[in-house]
Order: sequence, then C-alpha cells, then structure tokens
Amino acid sequence: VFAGDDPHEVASFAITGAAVDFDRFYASTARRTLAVAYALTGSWADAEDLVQDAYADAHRRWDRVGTYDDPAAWVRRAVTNRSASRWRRLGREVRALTRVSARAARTTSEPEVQDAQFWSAVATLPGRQRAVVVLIYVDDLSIEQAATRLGCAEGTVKTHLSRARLALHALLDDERTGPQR
Amino acid sequence: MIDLDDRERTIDQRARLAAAGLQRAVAQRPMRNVPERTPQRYGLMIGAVCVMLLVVSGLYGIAQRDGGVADDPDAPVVWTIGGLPSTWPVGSVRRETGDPSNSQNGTDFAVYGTPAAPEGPVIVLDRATGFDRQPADRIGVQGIVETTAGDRALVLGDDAAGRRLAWVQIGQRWIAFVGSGVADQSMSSFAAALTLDPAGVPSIAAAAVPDAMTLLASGPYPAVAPTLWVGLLGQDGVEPTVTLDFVDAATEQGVALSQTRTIGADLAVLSVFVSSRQQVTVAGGPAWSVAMDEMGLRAIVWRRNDTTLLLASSTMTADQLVALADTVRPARADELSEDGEATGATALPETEQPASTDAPQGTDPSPDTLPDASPPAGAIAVDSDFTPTRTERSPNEVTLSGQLAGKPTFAIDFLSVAGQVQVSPHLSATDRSLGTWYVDPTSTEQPIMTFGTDGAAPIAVVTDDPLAASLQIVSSAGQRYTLTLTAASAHPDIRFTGMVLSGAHLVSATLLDADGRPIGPVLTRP
Repeated sequence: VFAGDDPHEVASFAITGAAVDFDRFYASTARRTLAVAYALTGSWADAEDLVQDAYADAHRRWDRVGTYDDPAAWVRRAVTNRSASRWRRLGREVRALTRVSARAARTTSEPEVQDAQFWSAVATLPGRQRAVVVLIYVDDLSIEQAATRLGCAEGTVKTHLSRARLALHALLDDERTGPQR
Repeated sequence: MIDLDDRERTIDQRARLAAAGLQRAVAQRPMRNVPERTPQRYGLMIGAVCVMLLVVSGLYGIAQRDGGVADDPDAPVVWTIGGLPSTWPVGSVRRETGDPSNSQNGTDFAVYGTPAAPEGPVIVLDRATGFDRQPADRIGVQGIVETTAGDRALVLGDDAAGRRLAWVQIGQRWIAFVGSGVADQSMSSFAAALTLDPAGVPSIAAAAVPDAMTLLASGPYPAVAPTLWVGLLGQDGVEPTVTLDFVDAATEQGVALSQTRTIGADLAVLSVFVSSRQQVTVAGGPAWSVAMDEMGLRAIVWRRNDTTLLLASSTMTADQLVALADTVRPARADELSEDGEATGATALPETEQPASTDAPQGTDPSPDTLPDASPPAGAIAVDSDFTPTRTERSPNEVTLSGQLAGKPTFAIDFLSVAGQVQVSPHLSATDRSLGTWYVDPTSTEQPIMTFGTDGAAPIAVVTDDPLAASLQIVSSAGQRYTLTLTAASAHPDIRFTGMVLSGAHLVSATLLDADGRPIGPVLTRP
C-alpha cells in the first residue's frame, strides 16, 4: 500500500460519490498516481507534470469524476494516456534540460529509486507495453483489471506483458553485458 | 540458453522488487500539499460564486427594468444576449455599463456562437479587471467570436490605443488578452485551449505596453501554483526585447522579471500551460506555429505582422525563456517559405517535426490569409498538397474529406452517437496505380485508438485521449499516413473514456507521412 493511499478512503469515494472532497481525494491517491507516472516516464519531473495535469483535469470535472466508482482510476488512466503523447517529446527535452540543468539551482532533493535502471528501461518500451507493465506492477492491477483499464481484451494484455518482459530482459541484459560484437 | 519462461520470470521478479522500491521512493517524496492551498482556492470559488450571483442578479434586474440601467455604479458591467440564438450568428450583445450616463448602455453588438443555455452566453466584465476603465465609447467590441457549449466565449475589441482586447470565458473563469493585431482566429483557438483561471486578470494593467501582447492567468488548481510565462518580442526590425509577466499564484501579484524563480514546487505549475499549449497548437490558426530552439526546448510562436508572441515550454526557467527569446525574432512574410516555414536568419531553428498532437507548422501569416471573425464556412485549405474539406451537416455530424495530390482521396465521416463517435473512413485512389487504401485496423502506433476488425463503415473508434486521435491510413502497397485529429474540447456528453471528435468539436486534422512529417496543416474549424 502506498503511503497516503488509504484503501478505506478509496472505498469511501465509491460510496459518497460527488460529495467526495477533492482535497482528500488528492491527498489519498496522489502518491500512488505519482508512482504510476514515474514508472511511465522514468522522470520525477515529468511524472509530476503528468500527475498535476491529470489532477487538474479531474478537478475541473470533479462534479462528474467525483461520482465515478473509482476516481483514482480515472486519474491514473489520464496519466497513462498523457504519457503516450508526452513521451514523444521527452527525449529531446530531457537532453536539453540535461544541458541547461547545470545552470539551474537544484532546490529539491530527489529520492533515489531503487533499480532506476529498470524504470528507465520500462520508459523505452512502446506505449502499450509500458502501460501494461505499469498497471500490473505499479498499480497492482490484475490482468482483467488492466484489460478493463486499457479497454482491450485480457489476451491483449497478456501479449503486451509478455512482449514487454522479453523486451525488458533484452534491454537490461544488454546493459549488463554491454554490446555484443 | 534461457528459455522464454525464465526470461519472463526474471523480469517479473525484478519488476516486483523495482515496484516496491518505487513505492518507498514515492513515500519519501514530498508531495505538493493541496490543503494548504485550500483557503485560496475556496476564496476564489467564493469569489466566482459571488460573480455568478452578480450575473444572475444583473440579468434579473435588466430583465425587470426593461432596458434600464443598474442603480449600483459599482455593479459589474453585464453583457446580455439579445434573443435566443441557436446557431451562428446567435444574436447580439447588449451592453449595460451600470453607469446611467454611459452612452454605451443598450448598445448592441453582434454575437456569434452556440450557447448551451437560452440565457447564455453572458459576458461579465468586472470593474476590478480594469477593462471598464477603458474609455467605454472608444472600445469597439466586435462580439463573441466563439461560444461552444457555453463553456467559453471571446469578446474582442480595440481600445483607444489600438490594442486588441480579448476576453475569454471558460466556465466561470475569465482570461484577459491584450495585444496588437490579434488575429481573431488565433485568439479563439488559444482561448479554447486554455483552462486557466483569470485570478491574475487585475494585472492586465501590465499589458499597457505598446505593441505588446500579454496573457496573464492563474487559477485555483489543485497542487498547483498557476503560473504562466509569456515571452514578448518586439516589433519587426527592432532588436527583440522580452517582457515577462509572472503572476505568483499565492500572492496574485506580478513578479518582476528580475526575480528569478528557482526550480521547485512551482515548476510543475507551468505544466498546466503545457497541456494548454498542446491544445493551443493543434487548434492553432494560421498565425500559430511550433518551434523549438536549438536546445530542443519547445515554444509556441504566434506571429502576425510584426508581433511575435512566444509561449514558453513548461520546462523553462525564466533564464531559459529569455535565452530562447533571444534566439527568436519575428519572421517577416518575406522570410517565409511557400509553406509558411520561417527561413533565413530569423527563422526558428527546427530540429524535429512536432509530434502528431502538436500544431501544424506555421502558414502564411499574411493578414490577407487569416480567416475573418465570421463563422466558419467549410474548409480552410492551407496547403496545396493537401486540400481537405470539412462539411458539417449537423453539430454531431461532420465529414472531413480531401485529396492528397497523387495520393488517395479520402472522406471520413464523424458521427457522434450516444456518447461515441462513429468514424466512417472512405478511402479511394483516383489513380488505380495507387492501389487500395484503407484505415489500418492493426496499427499499434497509436494505442489511444482501436478499430473494429471488420473494416465496414461505420467503424466505432475508441480513444482514451479526450482531445486527439489518429487514423493510420495505409495502402495495399504499404504507403502509410497518419491522420491526426484534434478537438478543442471534450464533448460535454461524453465521459472521459469516450470520444470527442463530434462535429462541433473537431477543430483540426493533420496528415502525417510515414516519417511523421506533417503534410500540410488543416484547419477545420477556426
């Protein structure tokens, strides 16, 4: 269970619907959403951007979103969707920011992520595979739930997951062993 | 050799460990604190409610007194709609200034739009915004350029100094624009894209800069300190200068450029604008273009005549924005290639084509080519190689068709039915040698969209992205294109998982070649 993620809170959302206070919703779900976003992007900055955008959207539509059975799923889905388009531009922005970051004051200390290499590899996967990996391992969804979230068949999720694992194995193995001549 | 199961199992175990590590890292990470902003947000909400009450009471009062004026001189200026409009144009705006001596009382102005409610749209110009301080008799209000589903409106006018004023309503929120030579279409598109609260509107006074355009906005977003960076470049032929207006969400006060902001919690604020920008660009009019500096940082450049508006990437700091602005100067018409790309010394360095969800590249910025403020009528073809036609048969039914020179002729019908948009692609090649063209139902390039497998029209399209979708078009010979479709706003009747490409909301389409390069922008709705 993520810090701040109280399953009872989530349950109460389902019960109280529109009456759910957005602040409570944010406080109780944001960390888990951030984890999903980080796993999708491999970057805290981009993850926070995604999370913020998603919650901003939720806030704007809270009259409706707040009535959903699981508003957090809505937000995480928004994060997943946004990450797909965001990823396209991420590479060059990261490169650019890497160059300019030397000039920028570092005001926050980033918590180190164990096995960041793994998430970096995840971030290079095709969008659907990346989403499946994140939903299964980070959002802790079942195959069935992931299929529902992604709007596809369970078999499709299994296929993407299998391909993602193989791709990750190849990526991480290459990094471990170096390029083969 | 490791067999398949072993490899998957290895990754499965590592993924679970990595996920656990990620949970710990997230738990340690300081989160932006929403409750701390609650008072401000609630204050703004209360303010919004007050404004609404003023609107209602003002409307009621106007209705009751049959054209009279408000008794309270401090009451907000209220614009009301004449008649019950249903389509373009929808009626007129009647101005009531609250000042019995004001000659503008009762003045009607044309209104365009499609209000969602009989009583809307209603434009409220609060005295606190400073708008009303303009000489009322010298402001030529041109009307509401666009109102869609009642969620936004745009009023344009020129003040005494010749600056174009634009007020954008999004829900109960307002954003003020001030600029010179503002293209209606661009502003309208921009307005449609923004979802910011105009808490920073009082700083409109900062826009009193000749030949300047200022956009100031902030809002009570959760976990957000809304901030907007605007780079302003000078006139053509003049060494570019940059004016930054920075509205601190906490204080709602402008912050001087010299006050360098550190990268911290406020950084993400700018990403609100990133979202907006993404929409801005896809909805952009001919005067909009996307550019990237040599570092790959993105910016939106609005250019027309001698004014360039630079809207910076969310990832920029003030210093970076200034640095970028220094690299960008307004492109003159003679520096534009036929397809509208900036060239020459003042061209924007281009390192890569924009992503499919971004704007089409800039087109001829000549004022002559800019659509006027009248309602859209059919297609706006802006590229000789791609001449689409948009036919709107009803608010929920639209056909996008066109012919790509030497390529297939296509027609795509969008029909919004019960919360889902049905897409009926019809592709054919006038030249038989081009083979058969069809929408690729197997494409995985655009995971936001899936197609039915039978290929029969109509094909139900499901997309998770509320604002964009793409069609993969492929020929039997393997030629492949991507038609990217974008909407200005989500369909009000469709949940987030649904579609938005109904006729009233489809705003643009861009055809990309197999390498992702746009083949001419398409403006389907100004």
